[in-house]
Amino acid sequence: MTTETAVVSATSASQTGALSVWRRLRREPSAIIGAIIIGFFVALAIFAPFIAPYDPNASDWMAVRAAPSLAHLLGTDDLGRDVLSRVIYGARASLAAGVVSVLVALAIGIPLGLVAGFFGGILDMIISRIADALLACPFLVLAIALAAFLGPSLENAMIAIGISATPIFIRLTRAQTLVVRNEEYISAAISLGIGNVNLITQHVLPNVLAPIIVQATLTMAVAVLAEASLAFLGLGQLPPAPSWGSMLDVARQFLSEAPWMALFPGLTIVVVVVGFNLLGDGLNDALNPRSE
Amino acid sequence: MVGLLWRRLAVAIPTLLLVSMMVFSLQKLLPGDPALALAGEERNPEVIEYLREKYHFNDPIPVQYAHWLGSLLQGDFGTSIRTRLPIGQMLLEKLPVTIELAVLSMLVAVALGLPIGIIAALKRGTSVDYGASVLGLIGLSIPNFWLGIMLILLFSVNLGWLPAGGYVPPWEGLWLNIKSMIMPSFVLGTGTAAILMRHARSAMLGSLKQDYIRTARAKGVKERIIVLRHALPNALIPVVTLGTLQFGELLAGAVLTEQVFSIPGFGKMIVDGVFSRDYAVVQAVVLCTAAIFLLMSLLADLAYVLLNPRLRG
Repeated sequence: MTTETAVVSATSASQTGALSVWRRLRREPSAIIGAIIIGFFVALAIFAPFIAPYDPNASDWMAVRAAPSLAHLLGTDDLGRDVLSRVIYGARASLAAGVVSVLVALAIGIPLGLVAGFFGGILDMIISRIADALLACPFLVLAIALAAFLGPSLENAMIAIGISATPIFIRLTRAQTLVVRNEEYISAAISLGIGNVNLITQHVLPNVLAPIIVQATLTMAVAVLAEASLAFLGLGQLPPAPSWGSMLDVARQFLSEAPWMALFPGLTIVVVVVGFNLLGDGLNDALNPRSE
Repeated sequence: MVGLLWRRLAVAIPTLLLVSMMVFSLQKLLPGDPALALAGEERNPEVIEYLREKYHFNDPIPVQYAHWLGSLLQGDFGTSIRTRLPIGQMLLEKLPVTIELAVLSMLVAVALGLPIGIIAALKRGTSVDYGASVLGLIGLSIPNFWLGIMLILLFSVNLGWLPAGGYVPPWEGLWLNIKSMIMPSFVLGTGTAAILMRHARSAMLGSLKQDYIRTARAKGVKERIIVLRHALPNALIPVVTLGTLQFGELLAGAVLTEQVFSIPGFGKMIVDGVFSRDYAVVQAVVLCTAAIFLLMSLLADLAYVLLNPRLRG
């Protein structure tokens, strides 16, 4: 095989691979169920103003802590706000946190992992030790500490969760890069004189992405849980903006009088996290059939 | 074995040093004057100047770090601005409570996760296996603070069987202590149980595919003996290692559980520190959690070698 054909066949193989992954993905029931759940909640978040029966912040003082009824399907909270409307609008904060924090982690983790794995040496040592140090701080403790020092807000919570999730992506990208850089088509590309930046972005990156996509989907589940945890502790979305975690924090004080205030936001978190986990597991089976 | 211990320590100590740098630099994230932030509600200029001197805020950052690290190495974590107590003393008081919670949670996780994982592997592809997978998925997806709230609603508010929160030390009443820890340890243990279950299932499946299992079957060894004497001990090696690592995670997961059940442990200490802007407490808890986590990683490595006869030599 000549060097040109090695590089071209690697590219076309990755296109054929994408098609076969799509075919395998369509046969994975867990991926389909996960995608439907996530798609449903994304639609809720986008079309919240059209779907929610009430303004999420509007109080009905005649219906404070009202039990679920036809007027308020999931009941009302301590300020007479419709729980269903707040759950629907709360999808915005949770999904935004899930996606943005993982994007933060990817934006930092992938370049660092690529550099560490591709160049090796002192750069690899420094980056790997930083990742080790970050991994030594348990995820939630680090996220709480960062959110506490940055100040409570949804944006800071996303940054805190993103930074806490970064070392996983550094390690994963580095490990995959170490494997890919020894492949024949990379040696071929090097012998063609392709520069390091082009080599990394056009030949290494596309071939290390599969496990990263799986990990990103699974990390979104963790990020949604972490955002709810931070909001529960008062370090995420600030009131009165609706967030499932902060709704649970308030609900704790009215457990005996209004248990529905705690039941529905919590169930919603479980369903969304199950959705991301199913999608991640399905992607894993489709992208890495041997893992089954 | 001793060589391995030294090699692992040679990695763990620089990592802990890096963690200390990260924890120290958290202070620098605070907007404005760090002395003002550390002073909390206190606005007396003398107090603020005292803090500035005490923490060497007028010095260059590397000098500040050297002073901070020097104090830590002498066991001086600073003083809490909320309780006015030395933070080192607070850590020593809170840590046993969290360790008790983590140990009980690990017992719950092992009691639930291991048998379910092993049975799921033995009944692969049956409804039992699918049921176990669903349980594992739910265990991984339930926020433990919500599970805690739901259990309080059921067992404390509605049935009145268990206390909704609080902590009784074992020496003040063992039964009361157990009663106060049943729900928190179940809540904290479920996530780990799900992880152990998944790994036990996959390790057991891997073990059952090995040649020595096929040989034992060919020799006519009973299935029960094959599972208990040959497959299980080998499948447990990675699970024990993972369990050791998960113990460190349990200490971190205790943050929310302790908050929900008002247990005065390590996790509640960091949350109280966050609420009262007691940043030195937050830093101390992060650093101690990382140190414990690194220690557990070290023990996990040693356990892996000790349990694996091929590596022991």
